[in-house]
Amino acid sequence: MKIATMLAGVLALGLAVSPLGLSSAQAEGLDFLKNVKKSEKPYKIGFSNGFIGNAWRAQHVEGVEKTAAELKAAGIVSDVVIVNSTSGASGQISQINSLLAQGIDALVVNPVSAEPLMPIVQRAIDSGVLVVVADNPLPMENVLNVSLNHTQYWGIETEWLIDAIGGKGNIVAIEGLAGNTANDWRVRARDEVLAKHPDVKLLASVPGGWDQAQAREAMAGLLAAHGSDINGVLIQDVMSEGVIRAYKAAGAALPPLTGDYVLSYFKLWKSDPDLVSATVANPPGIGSDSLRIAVELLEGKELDTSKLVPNPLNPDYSNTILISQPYVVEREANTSRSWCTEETQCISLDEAMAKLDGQSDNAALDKTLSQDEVRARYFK
Amino acid sequence: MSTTGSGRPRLSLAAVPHGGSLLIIALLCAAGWLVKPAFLSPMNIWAVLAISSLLAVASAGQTLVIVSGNQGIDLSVGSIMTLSALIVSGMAGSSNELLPMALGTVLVLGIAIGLVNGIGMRFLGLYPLVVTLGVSFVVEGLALVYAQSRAPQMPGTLIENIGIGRFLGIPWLVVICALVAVLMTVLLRYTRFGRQLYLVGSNVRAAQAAGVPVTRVLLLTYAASGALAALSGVLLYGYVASANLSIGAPYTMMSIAAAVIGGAALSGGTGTFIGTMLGALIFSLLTNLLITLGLGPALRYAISGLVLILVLFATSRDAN
Repeated sequence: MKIATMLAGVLALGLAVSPLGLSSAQAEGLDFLKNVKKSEKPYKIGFSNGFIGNAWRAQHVEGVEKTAAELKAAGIVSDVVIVNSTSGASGQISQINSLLAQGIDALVVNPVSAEPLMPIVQRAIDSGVLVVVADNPLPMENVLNVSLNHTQYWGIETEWLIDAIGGKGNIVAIEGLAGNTANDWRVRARDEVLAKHPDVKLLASVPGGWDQAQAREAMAGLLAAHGSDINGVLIQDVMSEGVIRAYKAAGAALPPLTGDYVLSYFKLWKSDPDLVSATVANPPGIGSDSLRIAVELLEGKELDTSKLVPNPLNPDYSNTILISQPYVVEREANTSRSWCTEETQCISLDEAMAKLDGQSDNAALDKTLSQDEVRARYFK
Repeated sequence: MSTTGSGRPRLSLAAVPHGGSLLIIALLCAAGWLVKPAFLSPMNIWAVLAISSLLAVASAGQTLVIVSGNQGIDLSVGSIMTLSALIVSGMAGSSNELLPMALGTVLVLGIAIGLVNGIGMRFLGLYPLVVTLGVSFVVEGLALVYAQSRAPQMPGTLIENIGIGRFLGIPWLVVICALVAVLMTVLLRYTRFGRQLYLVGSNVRAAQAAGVPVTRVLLLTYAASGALAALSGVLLYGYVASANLSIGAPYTMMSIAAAVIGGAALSGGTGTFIGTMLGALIFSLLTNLLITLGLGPALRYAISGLVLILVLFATSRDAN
């Protein structure tokens, strides 16, 4: 595997040093648009997903498949080739290589990690392919990043928790994977909110790796260290049920905590009337949204540049679309919250469960934008 | 073993069985207690014992494979755990009646996968490292296909109880681990298979010359490892009450580490399950202590790495 990585890297580097040097798009000031060119309908698009291993990613890919079928039926795309890497960055690099060999007009990629993927993405750009980066951003100037708004994700959850504990007290936090882009972004958002509330003390913040078992173990340790001093628990996705199990095993009463947005959590929440919780949905539909944005660009639609925000990894580049988190769920919908907007709806637990009716327990509360919504929100 | 001829008499930890591990456990407990007396509260002790029980059972098969020597290592432990958790979740779901069938299925499957590992290393002459890695990819693939065809569900009351319930005040995970410990110790110490396993692990040629059925011993070992991994997948599902495709992944490396910290030599022929249990306990205590100290993630990773190297130095250095 190591040799494969090295070979792929060398190959990618070797090919990356021969730029084609198209400059027509520079005039528009948006570097990533230079590959939006005369390719004719129907387009062929590659979708490279960096990791397949949990329900969120399965739904992420499913959303892309559905949208691809719709676009195909409409005659807009000829094919969307979807590849999932099960062997990390090296697998994803070789899959993108083969996508490029098949001749695609646009590449939508959710990179497994930024650094190793940049050479191959650069190669795609150099060979004239439009690159849209879904979900996990890349610190590159000549791609369009389409990311979920993680400032909202933990910012809103932190504000809710502070309110739930009455504006003062002690909280602990279970983070995702330390060093991961989304995690670090969320942690910054949390810290910004906490800075405005000096009466709320963050006793400890530990990584749970978006893994139930690790989260349960971490919470058991936090309970030993801080016990009943903990007035609230701030938890990123996937891990809330693990935290609740740590409390149950310890026989301690549950404080207010932020939840998950999958059906199994909603059921648990519904079944326990004493559980004080809220959650912000981080929708897997971002994959489908990114595909639709790529199609609009290929069709030559003009991006509303006022919607672009600085690249979350390199603020010098203004090349990122932030998709709003679609739902904030509380037991009773509270639409007077400051964060409720048209794009971020405040809904009740029952409404959230109704949206997931008939789906499996691990299905995430999702939102995929329609082609019209994408056009209305991000294009002129 | 304790007399090295250096003249100066030394108080040797080697005189006490698992002395090194026990000393480190005592040190970790003392350090935790100094920082926060609640570290040694019954609640925290049970929490640490529960998670270390899970890791110990997950490392039981790994211990057998490492003892069996001949470069023995089982890299498929984590993926078998994942597959097992997904299948029990998918087949039994919240029903207790369907649980025995699901358990039977995953145990048979675990044994079958273990046998494939054994056949690969014994008959195809592949390194266990390579064959179990290859098999783990296949198992991951199976898990993916299974998860796509049948989504994981919330567990029933029996599984739920394994994760948070207690028997006579003792968490079920600890009870199950104690049972596994009795079985493993009897197996390794008092059965013909156990004696043959150590012989095969120390010197396969000598074992062969002495008439030990080497092939049978190795196949049984890998099959047992598969079955134990499948069992621990069920326990893991109970621990967290949900299953996903990466749930078992961390356990491959942790099971090797627990066995080696516990005194199993990677060169084969030595190792006990009690040692592995202590190794697992060291792991869980360390994680718990670092959380109690409230250190940032970077420092925690670095410290746990350093401490583990120190622990290995104290417990499993080759005496030469």
